[in-house]
Amino acid sequence: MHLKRSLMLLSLALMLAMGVPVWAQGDGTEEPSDQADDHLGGATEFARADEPTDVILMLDWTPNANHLGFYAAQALGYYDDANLSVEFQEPSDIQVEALVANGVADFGVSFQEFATYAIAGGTPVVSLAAIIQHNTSGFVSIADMHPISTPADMAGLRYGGFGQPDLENAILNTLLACDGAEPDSVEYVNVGYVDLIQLMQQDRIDLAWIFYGVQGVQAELSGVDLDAVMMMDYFDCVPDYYTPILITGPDMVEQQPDVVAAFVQATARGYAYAIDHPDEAANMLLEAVPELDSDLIHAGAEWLAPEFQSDAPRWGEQQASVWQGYTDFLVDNGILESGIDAGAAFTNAFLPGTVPAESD
Amino acid sequence: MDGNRPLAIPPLLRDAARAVILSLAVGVIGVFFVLGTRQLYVEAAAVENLSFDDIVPTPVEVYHAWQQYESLLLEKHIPTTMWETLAGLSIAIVLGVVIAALMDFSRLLRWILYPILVVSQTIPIFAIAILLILVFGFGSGPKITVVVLFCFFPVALNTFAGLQSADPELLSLLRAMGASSVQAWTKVRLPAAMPSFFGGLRIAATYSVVGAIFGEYITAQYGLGVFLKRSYSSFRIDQAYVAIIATAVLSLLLVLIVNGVERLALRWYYTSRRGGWRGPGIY
Repeated sequence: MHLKRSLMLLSLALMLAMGVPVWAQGDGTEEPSDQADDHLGGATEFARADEPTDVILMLDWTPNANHLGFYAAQALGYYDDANLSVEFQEPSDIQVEALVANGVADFGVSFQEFATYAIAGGTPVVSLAAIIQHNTSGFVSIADMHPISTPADMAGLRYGGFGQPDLENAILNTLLACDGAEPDSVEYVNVGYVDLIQLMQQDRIDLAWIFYGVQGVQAELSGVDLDAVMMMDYFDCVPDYYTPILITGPDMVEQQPDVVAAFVQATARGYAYAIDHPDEAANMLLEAVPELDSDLIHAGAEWLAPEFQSDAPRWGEQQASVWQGYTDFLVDNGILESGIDAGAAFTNAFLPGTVPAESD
Repeated sequence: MDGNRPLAIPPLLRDAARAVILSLAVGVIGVFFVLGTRQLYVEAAAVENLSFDDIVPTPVEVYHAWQQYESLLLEKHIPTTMWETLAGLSIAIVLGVVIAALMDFSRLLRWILYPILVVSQTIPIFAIAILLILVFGFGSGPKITVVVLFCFFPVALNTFAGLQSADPELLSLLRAMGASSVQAWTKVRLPAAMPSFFGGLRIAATYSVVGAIFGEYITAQYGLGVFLKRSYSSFRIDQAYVAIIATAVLSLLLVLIVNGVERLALRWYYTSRRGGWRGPGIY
């Protein structure tokens, strides 16, 4: 197939031959659990790094509820079990992809958008897991000021963008067109990274694109009533994409597959725990990063717990169709000149356990 | 000199009186500033529909936030930031003085170094953030580098100006007496540069803590910059003010230390030229 992919499979095979338990099936006496209960593909044993290894994980921003599984894995000793010592880095507005591709950081939290751009721009990264199974972002307005219920209601509003107008307008216009409204009828205001809800309250913008699990929950907590057009309701219009994702560089996959498998599987265990125990996982995050707002993290954890895995057969599972769909969307809208090789952009090979092959 | 002051007031008392008058003045200005800001805010809020609590926490709230994170700040964040600051400032002093000496030493070097110095101050830190990490990794290296970038410029420029300001008559006298150029440098030029060196150092000290926080903003595990960022992304303005005030206090402390060292090192300068210490000058 592709060189990288076959190399990776080869190294996996080597690991198996050397007795590294990359995955292990249940012992057969277990009840076959349904998908919602099984987050780990039936695995009961997990990969370990060959030797004690220090790894650096670059988050995408300050720690928040999206990162619950990493902190749960740290607190519960899953990384220790995997022979790993993990250091968390909290970057600002900086290209995590470049640092991960260069091997300066071993793993990173990215988004399918940025990973796709990075790969298209010659910065090779590989997505190892979808941290949240579906796109949980949405366009919101303050209900009292500018009620919206479908994309067409957004026409004529001022949208506070974060500085990628090509992408943001493409998404907005596609949504508008799907709902029969005029494209370009939303006014783009570049506001950068600021508190969008506050800008809407001050009537400087009317519309914002947020992660509902973070800013949406925050708005609810502070008593702001938001109207939302959620991306997940319009996947037939703008294709679904994974946001956020766990990435690494090709060198890691090729040279240290044992470390990659160990890290991904320990992380999967952390997210499995967070799915079943959002409150406890939130406390672990707060224990590690006490400066965070407790109510916000707990509410975010509660909101995200069912979203991490959602309808996937195990946590982290990614599909080629999602990677293909998004790169096609970017090419169709003239944002990328040529698409990326969707099949090489991600791998499920390091996730714990196995899932039955897709029937389609 | 003492003849100028028949009614000799003990220097300590004089200094104390000055300090009292100075703090009174600062207090009055401070009150006006706070009230003025408050008034500006009220007028802005009338237009912008702002809630005061969203933007400015009360001092009590800030104090509670400090209490909540006191041990974390004192054990992790502040020591991290201070280490980066002091390491960066020390390197900046050495680098600044060496550059100033080189520029003083040779006209050619001056032509080469001067534009580089200026350009170094125009680099937006975030534009080279990736480069800093690629070169220095994730430890304190990138933060210290940012502090050095912020701080070496005022030291270098002011020290150079000071070196150039040496009394030419004194220099020709020394030359006439057969002094070597090294002697001329150590006995005249270097002492002449000291007051402006300290002026530059004072500016550097003022910026150094903020430099470290900039560095921590790029990426870090601990430090006041991390605390500040975490606070903002948790929508905790009261916590953010703790970081802001801590930064201000640390910067102020550093400047006071510089002033203290200056006073000890340059007693001759202030006693001979000004008839006494008058507090830090502005150069």
